[in-house]
Amino acid sequence: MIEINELSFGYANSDKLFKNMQLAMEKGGICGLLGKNGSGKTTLLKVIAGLIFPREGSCRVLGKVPSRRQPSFLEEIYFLPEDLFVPALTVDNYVEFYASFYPRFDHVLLSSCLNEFDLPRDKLLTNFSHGQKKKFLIAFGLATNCRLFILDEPTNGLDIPSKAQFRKLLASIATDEKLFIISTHQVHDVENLIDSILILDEGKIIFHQSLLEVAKQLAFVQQQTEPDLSACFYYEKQLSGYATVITNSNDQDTHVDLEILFNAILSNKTKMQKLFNEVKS
Amino acid sequence: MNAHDTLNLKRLSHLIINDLRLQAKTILIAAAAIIIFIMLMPFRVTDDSSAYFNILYVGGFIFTSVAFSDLHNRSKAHLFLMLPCSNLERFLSKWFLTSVGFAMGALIIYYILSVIGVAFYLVMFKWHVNALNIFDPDLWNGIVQYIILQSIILLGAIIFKKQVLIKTALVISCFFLVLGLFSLLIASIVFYPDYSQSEFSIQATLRGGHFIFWVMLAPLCWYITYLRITLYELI
Repeated sequence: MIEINELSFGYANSDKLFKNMQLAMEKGGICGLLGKNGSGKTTLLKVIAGLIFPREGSCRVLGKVPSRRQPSFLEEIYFLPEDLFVPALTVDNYVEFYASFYPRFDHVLLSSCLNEFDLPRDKLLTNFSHGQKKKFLIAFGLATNCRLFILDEPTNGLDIPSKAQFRKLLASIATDEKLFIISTHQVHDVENLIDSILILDEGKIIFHQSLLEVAKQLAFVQQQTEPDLSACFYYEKQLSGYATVITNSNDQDTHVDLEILFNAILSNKTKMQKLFNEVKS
Repeated sequence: MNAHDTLNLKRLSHLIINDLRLQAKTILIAAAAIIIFIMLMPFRVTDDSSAYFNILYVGGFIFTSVAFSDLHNRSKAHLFLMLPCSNLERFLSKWFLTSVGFAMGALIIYYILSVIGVAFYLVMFKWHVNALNIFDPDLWNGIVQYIILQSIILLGAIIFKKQVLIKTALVISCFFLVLGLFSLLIASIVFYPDYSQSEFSIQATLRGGHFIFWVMLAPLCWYITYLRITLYELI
């Protein structure tokens, strides 16, 4: 679904954020895009959406070149930006204005999403709170029935019940034909939702694995005494002891803690890459 | 590339109608302002088309200068660029609304006012005056000239984010100043030291320049504006 080859991009000619980036993503699933501030998450999403263009290399999404912004491509992709904008229209007017641009727009699904999020249809979108605006744009996006959803910080600004509703809706419409890419800092919001993880650091993809594979290779255990760093990948002191990432040599079934995993990968890039590369080969 | 990805008239009309409806409030306020302006002015809104041209040029240029304000606003640009329509349709919808659409909209309002004006003069002062002659060739020539000149402002609107009219006027002035100086320099070199033959050549050059200006200028500006849309990045 997404093929990125030798991609280079920089906001200034002298300073390249991405250099010879390679990425391949298949349809189906929900991928969490993680990274520190300034690591290039939003930039990568914009390249995929065709909002910025590769300086070198190529990017193909659904077999098309995103920078051409062809309608047949845009009909299949929905991008929820972090920086929201809604025109001064009611929910119904917005739908009347924009739904017809999406050939598979599902009005029934929209109604059920709006009900789930408890959004009024007759109120001006500009009078909605930030969270309500985001919920509306998520609901509209899901109803477009696009094949690729790019969500940049979708849970930012959502209250606790709304985050749960968001997860429920996403899980209910995710199919093998659709790919969701969720960029977020709120890893716990999407922890039980995503099935693969992509980590960007300083413009490089340092980790791209399914959570199934992560769970197979790594165990996330709690230890009471301070672990020996040579015997584990990473540990972090918590109130109840030490959250530790170790090799899953005994086929333990542990819950993948995304935040710990993220910190473990960032602090042990080479070791982690080596482990997963060995598994691949 | 198929027709679906280049130009779909249904999608284009939908885009134009959306744009119109989104700007309905601004359009109504502008229309009310035009009506009040015309009523307060000392000229006769009947067969005199000068006020129409004032409205067309001043209002049209201001309207055109903000045509791409959505694109220059980071959060609004997402919606503008991600909406499933082609770059050609994006360009055509903006072009249509600010050129032909604005000219026709203003003409309809002006014509209705002129008909009301005829009735008003007849009833109040027993004067027989004519309504605006919408079949006057000069009127349509003026509209065509507006559409050509407006193409420069449309190009300025996509290049400059702020103070579009001032910056566009400045660039045009600089361009013509440089062109004038360059022409003078060339003429003084070519005809030196006998300038008696220069008049005919200068006139021929001016005719050529006139042709280039009125025939080539608008398509060139439209094409560059379209290219700027296709190359627009949300950086």
